[in-house]
Amino acid sequence: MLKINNLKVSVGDQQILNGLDLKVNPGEVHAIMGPNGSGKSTLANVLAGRDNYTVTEGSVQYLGKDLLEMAPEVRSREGLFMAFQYPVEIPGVSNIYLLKSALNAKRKHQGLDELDAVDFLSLVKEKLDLVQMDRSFLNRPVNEGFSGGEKKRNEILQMAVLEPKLSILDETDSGLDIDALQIVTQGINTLKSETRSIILVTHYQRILDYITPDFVHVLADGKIVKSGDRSLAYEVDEKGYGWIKN
Amino acid sequence: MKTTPTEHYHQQFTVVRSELPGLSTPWFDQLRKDALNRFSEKGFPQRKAEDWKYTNLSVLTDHNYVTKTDQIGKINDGEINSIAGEIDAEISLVLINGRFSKLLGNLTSENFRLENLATLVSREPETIREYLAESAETLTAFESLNTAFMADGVYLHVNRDAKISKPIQILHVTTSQDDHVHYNTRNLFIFGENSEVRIIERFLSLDSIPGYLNNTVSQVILKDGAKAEYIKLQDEDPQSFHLSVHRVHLNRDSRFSAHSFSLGGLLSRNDVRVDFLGENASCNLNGLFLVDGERQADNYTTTEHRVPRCQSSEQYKGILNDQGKGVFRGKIKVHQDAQKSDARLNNSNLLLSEKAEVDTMPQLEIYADDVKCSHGSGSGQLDTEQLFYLTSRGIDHAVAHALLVFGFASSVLERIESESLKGFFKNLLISRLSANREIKELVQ
Repeated sequence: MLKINNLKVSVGDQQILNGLDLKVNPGEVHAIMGPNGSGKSTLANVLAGRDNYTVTEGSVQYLGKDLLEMAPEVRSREGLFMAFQYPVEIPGVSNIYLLKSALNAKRKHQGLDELDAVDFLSLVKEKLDLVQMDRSFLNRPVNEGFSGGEKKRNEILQMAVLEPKLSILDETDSGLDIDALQIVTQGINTLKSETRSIILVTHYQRILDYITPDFVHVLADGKIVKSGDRSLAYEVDEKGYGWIKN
Repeated sequence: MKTTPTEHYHQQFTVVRSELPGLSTPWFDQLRKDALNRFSEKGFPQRKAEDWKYTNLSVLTDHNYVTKTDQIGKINDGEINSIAGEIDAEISLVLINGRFSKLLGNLTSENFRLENLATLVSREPETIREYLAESAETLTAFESLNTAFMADGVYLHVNRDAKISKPIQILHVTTSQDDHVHYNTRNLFIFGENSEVRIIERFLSLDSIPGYLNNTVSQVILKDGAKAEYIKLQDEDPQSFHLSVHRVHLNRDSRFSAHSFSLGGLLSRNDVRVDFLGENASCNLNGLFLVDGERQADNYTTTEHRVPRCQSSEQYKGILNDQGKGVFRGKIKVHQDAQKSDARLNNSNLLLSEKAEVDTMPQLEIYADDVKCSHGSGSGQLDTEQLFYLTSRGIDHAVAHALLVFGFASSVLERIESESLKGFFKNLLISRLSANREIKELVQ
């Protein structure tokens, strides 16, 4: 699914990722943990195609193609999805415009017809139930005036509608109370399958109580310094990140 | 030697006077002459004048505009009817090249009287005398020229307590004539006590007509408790000039809600002057201007809180592309006696190119101490975070761009109270966006 090889990335003059390697197979859930400033969010953003990040070395293969050559919209249509750490508010653009436009762009890319209004609404309604969002959310401007929890649920709603092959969740657990965390993780779990992969970027192991990772990686100074199974997350939680670095 | 503007307009007046309405009514003829003399005394405004500093006046003052007195040119009646039919109106009054053409729709309503001004001036000038006399103290040279040369326009009187749910449409169509013709139209809108009405006034061009000037003055009077929603659309030829003045008088408990869309014209300028004359009245002024190429749109508003307990809120938005230019000057004056005034004013602009330019001047003058007032303005480019967010969901870059522009403008659309007119303007706005086909499908 995804093969990252010796990835080096800088922002401005500063190198953030220093030769990162990662391989994700279909159906796997990978957790990427690390302290602040270790490069977690940089990794997520580079994969999604955000500007201002310069790849100085290395490669990223996604489904056998060069991911770094693709524009952000093409990555999305090819099945890659990033749930933002800080979803942006877009006044005047309602959620339903975004969902319809995104889904139709993907279907067009796949050579499928656009969904008609009835089919689209019934699909979206089903996905709304998944993240326990009211239908009125559809007509509200994207994220405008949403609480932190609502913004994160909205990310998962988009993910559910787009049914990505590879989801990158950038600190989706941050700022969530326990109820919201349950709703969000339940939504994510419903989307897990043998063909879909998930990369969970997180500071804390808390979210891993709800979504069981197959692999846990610890990132420090722009590199993966330790990989293991779920027990590694508990260890990090108990001992802190200093333990690994040393 | 080149004729001076004063000489030119005096000569013009001599030539066309007998073709203009009201010659046989001494006070009306005198009104014209006085206005022409005032124009001669004051001349055109100078660019250093505060109100004209940002406007390229020379395009208006370098040409000697003429009034056409012959009949309207060839008009395709079906085309006019189909344009009028875009609005589900109670009644439509059509003016072509500044003169009355026809009325369409419900002509027998007992709720209002709608006539063209020229007819009224010739048949019963006394009906409008007080209103025209009131405006004798015109402020600019262009208003003076309007009074001197007014050829036609609209008289609308809505009866007290009348409630008219469908909009009354006024359609100004300009079609092929010579270069540098000016059309001076004058409107009188009088809304009776506790009446409720909606007006849409549209300015359109049928063909590409270089260099004509629409110079229009409207007086709007809301009597006690009247409620009016007024929408103006200026969507004229990109080579044309448009000047418009609205003087709005608000009496006790009245409510005026205005929306101005400036989409066309090489240079367009709206002056809206609102006077609160009775307590507890309210006024919402909204506007949207769209410029591209080398076009310019100016909006000047002045809101005078003269009496206590009135509320005004104002929001103008500008979308500027290419080398387009915009000017917004919003002035709120709260007079000493106008305690408990509530006044808000905001202008925000979206600059879509490096060379677009906007000058924005929100101004507050407050002489009362117990008031709530706020003003603000901001201009910026499209938010790259928002663009990335949308494209990261697979949305085409051009569509994301258009969606954000539409989103920026949509708060102006949302303020339109009439659902059908809101829909009309939504479609119109979308048709002007680059990815209009995709956006249209989305927002239906």
